[in-house]
Amino acid sequence: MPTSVPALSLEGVSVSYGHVRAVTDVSFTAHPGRVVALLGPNGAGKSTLLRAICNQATKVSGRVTLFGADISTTRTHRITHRGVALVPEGRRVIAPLTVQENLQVAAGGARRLEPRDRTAAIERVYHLFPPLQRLRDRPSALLSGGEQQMVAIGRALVARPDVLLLDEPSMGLAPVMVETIYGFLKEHGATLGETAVVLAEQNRSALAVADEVVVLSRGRVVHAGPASSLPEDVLTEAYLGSATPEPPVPASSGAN
Amino acid sequence: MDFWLQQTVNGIVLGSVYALYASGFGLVMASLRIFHVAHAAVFTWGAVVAWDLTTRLGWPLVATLPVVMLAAGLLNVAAYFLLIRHLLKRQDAELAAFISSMGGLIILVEVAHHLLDGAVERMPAGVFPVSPLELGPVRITTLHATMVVVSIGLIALLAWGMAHTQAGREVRTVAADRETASLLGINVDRVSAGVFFASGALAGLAAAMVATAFNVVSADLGSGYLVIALAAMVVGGFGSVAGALAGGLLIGVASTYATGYLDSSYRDLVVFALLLGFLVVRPTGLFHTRSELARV
Repeated sequence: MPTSVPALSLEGVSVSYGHVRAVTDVSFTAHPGRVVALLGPNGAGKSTLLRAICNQATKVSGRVTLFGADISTTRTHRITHRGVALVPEGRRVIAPLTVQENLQVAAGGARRLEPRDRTAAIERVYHLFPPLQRLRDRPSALLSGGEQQMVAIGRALVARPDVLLLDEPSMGLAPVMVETIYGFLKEHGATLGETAVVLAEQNRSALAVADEVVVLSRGRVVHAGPASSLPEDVLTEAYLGSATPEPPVPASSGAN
Repeated sequence: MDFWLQQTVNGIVLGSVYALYASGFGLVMASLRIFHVAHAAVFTWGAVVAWDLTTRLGWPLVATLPVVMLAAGLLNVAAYFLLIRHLLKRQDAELAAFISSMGGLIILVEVAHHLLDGAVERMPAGVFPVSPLELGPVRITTLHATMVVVSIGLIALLAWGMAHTQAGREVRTVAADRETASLLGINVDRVSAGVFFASGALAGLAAAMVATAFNVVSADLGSGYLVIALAAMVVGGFGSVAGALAGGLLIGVASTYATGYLDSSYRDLVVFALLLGFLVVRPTGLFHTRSELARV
C-alpha cells in the first residue's frame, strides 16, 4: 500500500441533482503513479463523481483534496491549473476546432506550462498518438470516435497533469479502438510517470491496467481494494443488483 | 453609370458601419447563444459619450474614439455581469437572458432620454476634418473614407484574431462548449467579459462614427440600427465575422439603392425583404451554417 501523500483524496463526498442523491458518502484516494479503476454499472455515479472532483457537480457534503490542499470549492478552471485533467464522457472535443487547435487550447490553459514549452508538449502528444499527426489540420467534428478519444486524452496529457481522470474512455468505440486506448495506458504508464489515474468504466477492461479498484453501486462504494484481489461476487452484485431494487435515495435522507 | 457608382460607394460607407455594429452583436450571439438586445443601448451610449466629449469638452473626434470605445466596452461588460451571467446556468438561459437584456435596453435608453431631454442632438461642426475626395466620377469625403477603412480594418483584424490567436481559440472553445472550456483551464467568465468588452467597443466606435457622419445623436439611435444589424447577421450568417462584414455591406448597398432609385421610404422594405428572402432561401446566410457559429 503506498504511503506517500495521496495525489487525490475524496472524503465522504455526496452529490445531488435536485432532490435525487446521485453519490453518497464516497471516499477513496489515488496515489502518484497508481491507477484507480472506478467500476460500476450505468447510473452508479462514476461520471458524477469525476465531475464533482472538478467542481462541475454540486457537492452537498464531503471534501476533495489535491496533495492535501482542499479543492472542494475551487473553480473548475483553477482545478485544471493546479494539475487535474478530466477526459469527459463522450470525448467532448471542441468540434469546430481542428485537432491542432484543440491541443493548443489545452496547452494554453495549462498554467504550469511555460509558453515556450507549449509546442513541445503538443508534439509529445503527436508522438504518443501517431495517427493524429496526419489529422492535425482536420476539424475534430470530422474525426472517428477513436480519433476523437485520442484528441481528448492527448488534450489532457498536454497539461502534464498530476491527476488524470478518464470517464468511460472505451464508450462507443470499436473493440479495436478500445484495445488501442488501453494499449496506450499499458504501454505509456512510464510516460504518465507520477500521474495518478482514476479510470471510470462500466466494463472490466479497466482491471487490466488498474492497481486498485473502487466498485460503486447506486452511488455508494460497495468495495474498495487491490485490483488483483477483487471478489467476483462483488462485481456481479454491483452490475446485476440485489434481488430487491432500491429506489433512488432522496437528498434529504442524509449522507449515510 | 456614375450615379450607380456613387450609390454603390455610399452603400459601402453605410454598410461598413452596419458591419461593425453587426460583428460586435454577432460576437456575443455566437459565443453565448444569447440575443443581447441591450447592445443597442451600448451603441446609443457610445454616441452620447462622443457627443458629450466633443460638445462640452471640445475634443476632436479622433481623441474621443478611444475613450468612447473604452466606455462602451466597460458598459457592455457591466451588462454581462449584471444582466446575463447569473442566468447562464438556467435551463432557459437564452430566453431569460434575452428578457433581462431587454430590461437593460429599456433602462439605458430611458436614462439617455432623460440626459438628452428627449431631443435629437447634433455633433459640433469641425470635430473631424471633412474634405471631398474625387475618385474618378465618385465623390467621397475623408470622413466616409476613414469610416470604411477603420471598419473593414477592424473587422479583418477581429476575424484574423479569432482564427489565429490563443484568445480567439479560447472564444471559439467557450462558444462551442462552456463546461469543457473550463475543464481545459479557460476562465469562462474572463473570456465572456472580454467578448462583451470587444463587442461594446465596436458598437461605441460605430456609434461615434454614425453620429458624426449623419450628424444625429438620440436615445433611440441604437434601437433603430438593431434591426439592420440583425438583418446583416442573417444575410451574412450568424456568428461569422466575415459574414457580418458581407451582410453589412450588402444591406448597406441595397438600402442605398432603394433610397437612390426608389424613395427613402422603401429603405426598410428592402432591408426586410432581404432578411426574409435569406431566411427562406438560405437561412444559413452567405457565410455558412451552424458549425460556423462556433468559429465566430
